[in-house]
Amino acid sequence: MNKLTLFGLCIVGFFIIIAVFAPMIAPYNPGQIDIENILTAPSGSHIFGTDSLGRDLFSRMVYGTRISLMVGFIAVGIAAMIGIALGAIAGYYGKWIGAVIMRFIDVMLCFPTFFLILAVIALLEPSIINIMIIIGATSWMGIARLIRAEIISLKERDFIYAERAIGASDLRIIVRHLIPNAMAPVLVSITLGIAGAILVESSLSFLGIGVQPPTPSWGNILSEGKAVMGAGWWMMLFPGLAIFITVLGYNLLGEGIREKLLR
Amino acid sequence: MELLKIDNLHKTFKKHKVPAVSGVSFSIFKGEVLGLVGESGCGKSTLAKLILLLIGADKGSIFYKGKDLLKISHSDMRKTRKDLQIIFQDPYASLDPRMKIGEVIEEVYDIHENVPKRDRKNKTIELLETVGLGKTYLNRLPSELSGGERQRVGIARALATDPEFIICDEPVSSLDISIQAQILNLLIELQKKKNLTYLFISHDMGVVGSICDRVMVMCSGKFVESGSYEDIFKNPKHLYTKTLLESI
Amino acid sequence: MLLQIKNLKINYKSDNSLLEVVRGVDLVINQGECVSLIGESGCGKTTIGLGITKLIPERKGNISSGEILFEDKDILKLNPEELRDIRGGKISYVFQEPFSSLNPVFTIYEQIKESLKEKDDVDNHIAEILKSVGLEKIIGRKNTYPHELSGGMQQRVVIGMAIASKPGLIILDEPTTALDVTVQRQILDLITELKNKMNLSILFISHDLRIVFNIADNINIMYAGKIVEAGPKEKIVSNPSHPYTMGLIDSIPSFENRKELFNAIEGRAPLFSELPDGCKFYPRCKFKIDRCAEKEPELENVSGGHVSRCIRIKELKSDGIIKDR
Repeated sequence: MNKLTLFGLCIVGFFIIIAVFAPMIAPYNPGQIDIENILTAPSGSHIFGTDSLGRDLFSRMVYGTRISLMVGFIAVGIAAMIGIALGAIAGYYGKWIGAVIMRFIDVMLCFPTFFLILAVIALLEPSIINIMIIIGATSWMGIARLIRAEIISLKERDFIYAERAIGASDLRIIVRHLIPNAMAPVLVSITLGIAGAILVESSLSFLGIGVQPPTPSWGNILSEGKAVMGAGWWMMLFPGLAIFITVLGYNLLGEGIREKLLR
Repeated sequence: MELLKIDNLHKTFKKHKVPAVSGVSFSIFKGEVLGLVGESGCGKSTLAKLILLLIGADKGSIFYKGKDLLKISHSDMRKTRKDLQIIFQDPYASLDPRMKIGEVIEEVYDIHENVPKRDRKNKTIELLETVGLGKTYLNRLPSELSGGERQRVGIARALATDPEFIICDEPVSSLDISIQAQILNLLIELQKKKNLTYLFISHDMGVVGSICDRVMVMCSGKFVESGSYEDIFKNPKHLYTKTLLESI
Repeated sequence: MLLQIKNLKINYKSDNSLLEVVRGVDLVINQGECVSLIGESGCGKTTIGLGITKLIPERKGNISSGEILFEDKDILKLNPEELRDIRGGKISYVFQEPFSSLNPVFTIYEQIKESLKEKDDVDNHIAEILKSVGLEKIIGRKNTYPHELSGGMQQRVVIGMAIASKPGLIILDEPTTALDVTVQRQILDLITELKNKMNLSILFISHDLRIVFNIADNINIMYAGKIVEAGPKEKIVSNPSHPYTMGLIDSIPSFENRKELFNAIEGRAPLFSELPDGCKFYPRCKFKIDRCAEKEPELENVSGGHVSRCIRIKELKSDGIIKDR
């Protein structure tokens, strides 16, 4: 495996472990307010420093990992489900249903997605669930096109004709034979999509309409950090670095998967 | 007994102007091996897929034991599929690369529910042994098998529904000549043992001549000549047939 | 002797190991001769063809030992400039897929021009070449691209390019396999005609004995990286002297034994990573005895110029178990 890909995989794995074992890794309760220690710089007892309410930044970052990853995975999971289903139907059946779906995709792609998300969140309340759903509902189009393209070429292969000949139903063919064989390029899309979703969530939280405090998210910690920029450089550095490294990790991993598939 | 009767079948693909199959009519009788010869692009593979309703015909009828397959209900067709099967040319493309060999066969039982769950594994092993493979192949993937072995799996899959009629679409054309002989032997033995009816498609007159009772010659979507083995090989009438024979 | 290959050994890189795929092959091609190399997929025959002018890329494999004497000079010892002189010039190739041998973005004329040695009077030269491969109808059509021609016509162009440099040796690797049956016959006839007219020397690599039957002077049968039988065509066909050759001949469909079972060879060819000791054909051989598995046999003389790598062949014939055909 390419060294860069391995590096990306390590980063991804590292953050997953932190998210899963958060309670065991975080030294403090992330919500624990300590008025006496407001905005202290990184030190022995608080390795990332504290925020404007005296909460330990490291613990908040660790729990924030959970939020970021959860939003990333679930949003992309929703996008994948919608994209794979619509792409498979468009690819397998073609004709007018395929055309309708493709035009729908074109329409969705016309919207500047981020503003669409902003508008929807402004109308609804900015809960984590809403965020995951809306990100998922606006990022499935690429996956749909990929699946459709793969299925259009796969369905002419002899083994698919063989499945029809033995009497397999369309559903069985699509779900058990076409989609699994079409997943390869989608894996790349999904991996890169997780990075994208994490970025969107961070951006929304940074703008104040994403994850709401006191729940910690890298984005809203970054937002707090902007407010106290001079007085607490650590409040921007650590979440900023975390976002940067995570997105880098997923991108390296995604590119690595793409390289492997091209061979 | 007339098993299959094809009447005036037509098919033109949207992207082509010239019809792939144009007014083809013929009958196949139970127990016979009917050869279909022609070069690539003549429409023989299209005809095979049309007969099994794997692609839709524009015009014509396909009578199986008297019923027009193009007019029966979806569920009736599903039942009829058990009797009509196909073996494809390319052993590398005819198996799902992600399915283990045992699963390939068991899927057939799953779809038709003609074998109770507890017997499926044993029946699968039995079937694999009939085609010259065995228990050790159950958990292997197609990529681990040679061309000849994969073709045997394809044959086993076609036999899993206990069919009466099998279309062999260039079943040995992609194989080395020594493996070709093995697979032809297997097909000949199975045909005799189970009284199968074959439509044997090939571009190789030599192969067709060694296994078929009657032969039809196809060119540009139409039949140009047909007859018994003696008629075609000893007394060819059409120019194209003669050209094919000279190429041996 | 135009080309003499002595004890050629070629390795292929597979996963992390080196597999010996050509395990000591001797071959001689005389001026004006057509020598055929017959074997099934994976036996090493294409590797030999590519190896003759060192066309095997470094990352795929290497020639580990042996000599390839062409016009008395060892190709394996030539410097890159001399090697380039030979490739395409003195030794040219025709491969299986004409469409991959031709560059889709250049016209036929441009490609033939590239393979000419003398660059003056180009149009006439090209017209001559097109005529000699039966493509009179595209003479003058300078804007024809490969995809506008049928498979057979493309292969004719490739053959034309191969003879354009007036080579000493042409290596044909399955030149007709990708073509329709009727076109195959035409191309084979063309090759025979050119061989006779230009006194070409040919190495014809194929998996099918039937194809080379008319054109070849000598036949070499290859199995698991070595030649197992070799000799003049008539002797090989009427007096096959290796169980593998006999099996190949028995696998050819014939009208005489309609609907009877073939005398097929059981089993499959061994993987180079799992070659058995002794005779490599041992596991599949109908005539095997214990002694066959002890040591890999050498090539022994069966009759003048006809050799076989089977230790039992003389005894099987004299006992009448194997008869002449």
